[in-house]
Amino acid sequence: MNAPAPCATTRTVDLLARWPRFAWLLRRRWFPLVVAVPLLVLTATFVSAGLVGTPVGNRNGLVVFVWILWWFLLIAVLVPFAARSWCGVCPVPLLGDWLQRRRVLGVTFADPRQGKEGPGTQIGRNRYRGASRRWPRRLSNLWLQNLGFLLLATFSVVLLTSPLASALAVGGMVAAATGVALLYRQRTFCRFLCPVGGFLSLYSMSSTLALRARSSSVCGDCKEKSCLAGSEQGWGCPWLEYPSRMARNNACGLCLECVKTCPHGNMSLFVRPPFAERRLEGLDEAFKAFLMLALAIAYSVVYLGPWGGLKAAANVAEAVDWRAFGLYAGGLWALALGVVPGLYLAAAWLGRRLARTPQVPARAAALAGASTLVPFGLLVWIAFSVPLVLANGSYVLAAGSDPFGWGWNLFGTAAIPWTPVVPHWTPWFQAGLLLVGQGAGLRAGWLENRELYGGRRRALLGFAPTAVLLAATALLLLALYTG
Amino acid sequence: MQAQAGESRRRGAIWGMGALGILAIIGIGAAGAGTHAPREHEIRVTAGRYFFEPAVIRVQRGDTLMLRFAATDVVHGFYLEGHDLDVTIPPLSRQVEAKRAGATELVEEVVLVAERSGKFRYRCSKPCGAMHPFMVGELVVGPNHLFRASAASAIGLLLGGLAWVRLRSPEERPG
Amino acid sequence: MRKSILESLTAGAIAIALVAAVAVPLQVEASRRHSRARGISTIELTGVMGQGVWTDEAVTAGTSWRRNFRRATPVLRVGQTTRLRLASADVAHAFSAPDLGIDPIEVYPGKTVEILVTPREAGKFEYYCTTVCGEPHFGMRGFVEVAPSGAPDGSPPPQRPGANYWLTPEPAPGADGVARGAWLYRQQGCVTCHGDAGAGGVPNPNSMNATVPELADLGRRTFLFTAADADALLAVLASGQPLQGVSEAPAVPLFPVVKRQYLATRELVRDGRRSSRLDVEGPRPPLDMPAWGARLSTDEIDAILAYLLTLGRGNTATVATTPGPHSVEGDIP
Repeated sequence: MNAPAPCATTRTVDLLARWPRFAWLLRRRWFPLVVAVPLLVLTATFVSAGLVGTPVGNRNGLVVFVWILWWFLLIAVLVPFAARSWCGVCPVPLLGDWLQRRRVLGVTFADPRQGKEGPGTQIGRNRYRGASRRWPRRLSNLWLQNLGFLLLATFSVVLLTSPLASALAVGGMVAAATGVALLYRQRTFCRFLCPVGGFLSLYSMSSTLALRARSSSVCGDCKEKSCLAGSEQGWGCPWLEYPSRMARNNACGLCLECVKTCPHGNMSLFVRPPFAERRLEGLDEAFKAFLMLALAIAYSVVYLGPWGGLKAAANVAEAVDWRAFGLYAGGLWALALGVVPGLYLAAAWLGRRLARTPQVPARAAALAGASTLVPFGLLVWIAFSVPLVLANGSYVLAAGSDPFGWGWNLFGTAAIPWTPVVPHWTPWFQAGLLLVGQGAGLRAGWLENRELYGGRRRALLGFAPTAVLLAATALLLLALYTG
Repeated sequence: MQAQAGESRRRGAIWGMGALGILAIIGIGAAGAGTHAPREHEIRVTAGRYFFEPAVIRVQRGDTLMLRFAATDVVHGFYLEGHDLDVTIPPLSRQVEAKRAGATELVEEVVLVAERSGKFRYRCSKPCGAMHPFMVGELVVGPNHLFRASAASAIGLLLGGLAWVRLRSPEERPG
Repeated sequence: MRKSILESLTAGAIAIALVAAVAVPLQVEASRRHSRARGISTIELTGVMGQGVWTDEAVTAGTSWRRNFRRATPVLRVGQTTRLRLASADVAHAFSAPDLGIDPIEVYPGKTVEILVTPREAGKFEYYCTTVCGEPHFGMRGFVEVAPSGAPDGSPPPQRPGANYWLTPEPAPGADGVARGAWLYRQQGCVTCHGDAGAGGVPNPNSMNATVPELADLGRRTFLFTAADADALLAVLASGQPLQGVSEAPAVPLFPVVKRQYLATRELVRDGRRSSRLDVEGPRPPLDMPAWGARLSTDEIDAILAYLLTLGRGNTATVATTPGPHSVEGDIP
C-alpha cells in the first residue's frame, strides 16, 4: 500500500535520525522561511520585469526564470526527489499567511482552557485573524484545481510567451491566495485552489521523500496532538491534515510546522523508493491524472511538434484569430475531458467485463486503472520539459544578468547568445524517461489491480486492456518524440 | 522437488523471454541497415511565423540534401541540431547567411550530407515573435534505430510484464 | 519581549526588501538613463513590427499591445553629436539613414545598438528599415530633422505613397487577375517604392538612378505598344500554358521579343536585385528590389504585372487609396 506507515518500514531511511543537524534546521521557526522570503523578493522583481521590462519574451526575466528554470526544476528535480517541497517555500501564499497569523516568524499560542476571548478565530491552540471559514465539503477535492489548470492550459501559449500575461498570472495568484487566506482558514488556497498544487498533489505520490510520523504508538499515547492543534512551538497543520495519521504525500506541503510542534519529535522525513504510493482515492484524482496526460500529449504536439498551424491557432494574443483558437481550445478540451478519460475508463470497464467480476465496483476499477498514469504522467512531463531546458536554457544565463532587458550585465552573462546544449540527445533522454514511466505505470497498475481483483488470473484480465492502452500511449509519445 | 523443478522452469522461461526480447530489439533495429544507393534531395525550406515548410524531412543515411531557403515575413533562422549549421534567412531574398565551421558566408544553397541517423530538429535561431522558441521542424534520417528500439522496448515491456506476472506472481493474493 | 522585537524587525526587513525589490531596479535604470543623457543627448528608438514604425515612445511588456505608437521624427542639431539607441520590440529590424551617413544597422530583439550621429547640414533626412520585418515593413520609414537651432521648423516632412498599405482590403474572390494584381501591388507594399499607379519618383539615395524606377511605362518596355497588344499577351498568359513553352502567338506582335522581356521582368520580380551604388564609397542604397518569389506565387506575380501592363486605361477595379481603419497619428500620409 502506501509507504511508510506510521511505523517505519524496512525500505525507508529516516533522514532526521540520520542527520541530527538537518533535524535541528527543520525545527527552526525561520526555516523554510529563510528560503521562501528571498523567493518572494525575487518574485516581486520578476513581476515588475513582466510589467515594465522588455516585451521580448525570451529576454524577459519573468518568462525565462518561471517557464524554463522554475518549471524544469519543479517537475524534474523537486517533485521526484522532494515531493511538495516547492509548496514549503512558495512565495505566493506568504502574504496571506502573515495576514492570517498576524505573525511573520512566531506563533500565536492561545490556550483554549483560558477562555476564548481575543480577536480572531481559535483553531486548536492557535489564533487566526480573518474569517477562517471552512471550505465547503463538496469543493474539498481536486475538481476546482482540475478546472483551473485546464483553463490556464488553454491559454498556455499566451502565458508562456507574454511577459505581461505571466506577470498578471503570478500577481493574480498572489492576490487570490491572499484574498482566500483572509476569508478561509489556513492554506485553503494551496490545498483546494492552486492550479500548480493540483498536479503537485498527484505526482508527489511518486516522490522518494515523505513526511510521516515515526511511531504510531507514540502518537497514540500523545495527549497534546500538537501536530493538529498547534502549540507554542508551531501552528497546527496549515494544510488541514492530521500529520500523525498522514499516510499519503498528496496534501502535505512540507511546511514543517508539525516537525516543529511535535512534543515527542515523532515527525520525520523519510526517503523511500520512487513510485511508492499508488492508491487513488477519488475520481477527482483520476481526472487529474487523465488531464495531466492529455495536456502532456497536447503540449508535446503543439510546442515540440513541427505543426505550425496548431501553434498559430493557439497563439491567440498575437494572431487574434478567434475562430482558429476556438477550434484549438475545443480540441484541447475534447482531448482532456473526453478522449483520454474516455479511453482509460473504457479500458478499466472492459477489464472488469473480461474478468467477469461484477462484484468489483466500477469506480474502484477505474481508480485502479488510472493509477498507471501517476508515474507515467510524471515521467512524460519530465520528458516534455527536457528539450525546453536543453534548447533554451541559455536564455536563463542571459536573462539572469539582464532581467528587465534594459541592457544590464549584472553577472557578465548578458551577451551569451542562444546556445542549445546537446539538443540532439533530447530524443534519447525522452525515450529513456518514457520507458521508465511505462514500466513504473505498469507496475503500479498491476499491483493496484492485483489487490482489487484478488486472484491473479482475474487481475490479469482486469488490467490487460489498461496495460495495452498504456503501451499504445507510450508508442504514440515515442513516435512524437523520436519517430 | 516439484517446487524446485517449477522454480527452474519459471526461471528458464524468464531468461528465454529476455533473450527473445533482446533479439527482437536487435533484429528490428538491424532491419533496414542494408546498403541502399544514396539519393540527392533538393529541398526548398520556407520559414514563416511560426512554421517551417516542409515540417518534416525524411531521408536515409548517406543522402545529400541541397537546401534553399525562403522566409515569408520576417528574418528567421535555421539551426540544425547535431549538425554544424546555422542559417540566417532574410525575407524576400535569394541569398542566406550560412554559418558553418565557424565561418559565415552568403550563399544561395546549402549542401549537407546526412551522415548520422536519428531525429534532428531544426529550430529558428533568430527571434521572430512570441512563439519563436517553439518554431521547429524535424529532419528524420533513417533507419531510425532509436525509434525502433524504443518502440520495441515499449511492446516488450508490456508483453514481458504480463509474462513476468503470469510466471512469477502466485495465484492468490498474498496473505 | 525579545520575540516581539525579533518579529517586528523581521517584518520590517521583509517589507523593506519587497519595496526595494521593485523600487531599486527602477531607480538604477533611471539613474543609468540620466547619466547617459547628461553627456550626449540620447534618443531611444524602438522598432515595432505590428505598425511598421521606429518609435521614440517606450515600448515595454505592459504597453507592447498598443497599435498607436508615435512614429519618431528625431530632431538633431547641426554640428552636435547625438546618441541614437536602437532596440527592437519584436523581430529583427534595421536602421538606415544614408543621407546622414548611417549605413544599415541590424537591430535584433534583446540587443540594444548605439550609434553616434553628428549632422553636418540642416534639412530633413529620411530613415528606413532595411530588413524585411513583416507586412508593414515597407512603410517603416520616417524623417530625421536637423535644425541649426535644435528646434523643429514646423514644416511637414515630404509625403511618401502608400500609407497603411498592408491594410488594403482584399477584392472579392471572383475578381479578375488585374483587380487582384492592383490589390497585391498595394497590399504587398510595391506602392511605397514604385509609387501610386507606378509613378515612381521615390528617392533611393546613392543608387544608380537616384529614384526608384517608375513602372507606368512597363508596357512600352515590354514592347507592348497598344492596349490590344497588352490584352493579347494577357490572353496568352491566361490560357494556362506556361509562357516558356509557348513558341508563337500570332495575336501578339513581336511575340519572341515580348516573351523574352516579360520573362525577364518576371524573373526580376521573383529573384530581386540589389541596388548598385552610384558612389562606391558612399552609403548603401536603402531600397533594393526584393525577391518576391519567396512570398508570391508565379500567378500572383503575373497578376501584378497584368495590372501594370494595363495601367492608365481605367479598367482596373478601384482600389482604396485612403488610409485603412488603423490610421496612425503622425504617419506619412
